[in-house]
Amino acid sequence: MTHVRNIGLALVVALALPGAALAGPYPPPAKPSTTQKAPKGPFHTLTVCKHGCKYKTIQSAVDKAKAGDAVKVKSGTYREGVTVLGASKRYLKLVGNPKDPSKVVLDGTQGKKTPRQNGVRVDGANQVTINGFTAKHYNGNGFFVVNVTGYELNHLNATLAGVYGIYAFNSIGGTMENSQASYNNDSGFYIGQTPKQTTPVRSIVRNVKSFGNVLGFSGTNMRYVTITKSQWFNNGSGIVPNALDTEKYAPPEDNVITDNDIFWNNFNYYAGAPFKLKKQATSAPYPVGVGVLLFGGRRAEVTNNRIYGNYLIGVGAIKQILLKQADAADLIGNQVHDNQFGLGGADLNGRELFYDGSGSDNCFGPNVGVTTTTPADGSTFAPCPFAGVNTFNAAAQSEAINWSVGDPTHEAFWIKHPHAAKPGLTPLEHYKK
Amino acid sequence: MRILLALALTGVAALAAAPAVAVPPDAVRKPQKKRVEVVDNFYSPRKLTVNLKSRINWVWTDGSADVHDVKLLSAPKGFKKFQTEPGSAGYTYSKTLTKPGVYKFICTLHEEDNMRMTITVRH
Repeated sequence: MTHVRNIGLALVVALALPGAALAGPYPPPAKPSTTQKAPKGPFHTLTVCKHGCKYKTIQSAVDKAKAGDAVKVKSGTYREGVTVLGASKRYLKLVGNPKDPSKVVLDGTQGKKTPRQNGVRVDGANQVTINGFTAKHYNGNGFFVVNVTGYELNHLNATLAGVYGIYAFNSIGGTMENSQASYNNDSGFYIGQTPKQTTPVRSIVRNVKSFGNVLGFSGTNMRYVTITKSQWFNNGSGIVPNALDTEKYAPPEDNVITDNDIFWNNFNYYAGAPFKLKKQATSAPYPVGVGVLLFGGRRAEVTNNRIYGNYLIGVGAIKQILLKQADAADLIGNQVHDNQFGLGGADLNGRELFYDGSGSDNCFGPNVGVTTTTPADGSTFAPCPFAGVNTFNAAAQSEAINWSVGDPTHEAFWIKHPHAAKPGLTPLEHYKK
Repeated sequence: MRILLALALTGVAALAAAPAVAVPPDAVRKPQKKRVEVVDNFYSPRKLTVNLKSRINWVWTDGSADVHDVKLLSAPKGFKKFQTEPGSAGYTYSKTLTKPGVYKFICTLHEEDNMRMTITVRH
């Protein structure tokens, strides 16, 4: 997003301005290539290691590799940024140590100089696999895939990136799985600007952990994404599909968030973080203490998740009030049902549900463990299934905006409850060195 | 007003008294060094006119919390197109513009937000 920094900004501006400037005419957007043929081989394996291998750097092996080849990287720390560029590198396999990604480390630091920008960047090469790496201390992103059809990001660990941990942009179909993202300055995982498709190819985010980030997951104008069987905890906010003008193809559509554990997203990074907060982030606050926030969007299904211990709200939904494409701003056809809130009463959210009642065909429930909502009278929460115009509540919308912009502490509107202990995990609210 | 008028007249007189010397254009318009800031989500300045062979330094400032790049969309004939790495605050990239004409740049990640700029290189 800017993804979601702009969410805060949008909320700020919403209070300050009666309206936003309209965009001028714009050429049609370019979609990633879907016509790269699978290579026929013969395929080769290029081995990289610090001593005794033909290739001492990953980039030198990638430069030599042909489509479909494998680049195997032995244990070690590689201080470089790897670029995989263009169709001639399609179907490339970058393989570190899938069983223990901590053994093969990409490190962005370079002394006193600004760190390198991206750990691995794939641009325009379809069906590339990156498997078994750790990327840390990059100034931009840990792993970044852009303008492709198909990708496999597996067994990765992205930490302390300046912006995103594991990131796919303007791409069709792909998988992020068995991976971890922590302490990234924006979101741990991010899928943005998914082109609209007549025969959609879904992207899968499965069995990942995301913690200590500003956002666990951001999805600006993403579509056809399923997020499942993953853990989102100790972030500022957990999962935030969002509609923004900064990227193409607003709003987010047809996403599924199911069978996840979404808890303890109360990391008040404003009060201190293991990363240097960027100026833009602090000038455009967005709420801390949220499990899932639908910031505009259509046909999202949030179902069968376990959502608990988020001090502001478990699941929230609000119209994207500043979107220039006015016809894409409303919440339409979103469903929040069959989720378990509050861990059976042992770890309550501040409020289980918030919805401003904007848009149409949005429905909530049945859900288990819903005790507190905004609005308190529950008037916006039409039970599923529901068709028709929802019941808008301006006071509830204003209250939610105030959570973002009316609280310099970012905690004033929290409703705190005790957490249930989880083996091996400690709640993160205020970072201590 | 009278002072201004006097200064103007003095200037005219000085020009009239000066010997006519042909100044080569290259001597007048030396290559420049110009800084362009890359921030969320625009370049500053958005338009720039520089002399031939000027060096442009794009600087991702603290206002660049997100990731941006600089892609040369169109350029005078003979100038090789380029695209920077997507970067964030702290990143820099420099390029010397060696052909006269109009150069158009975009951020490929924020085309939708009209993140673009134009540099005109004069002879």
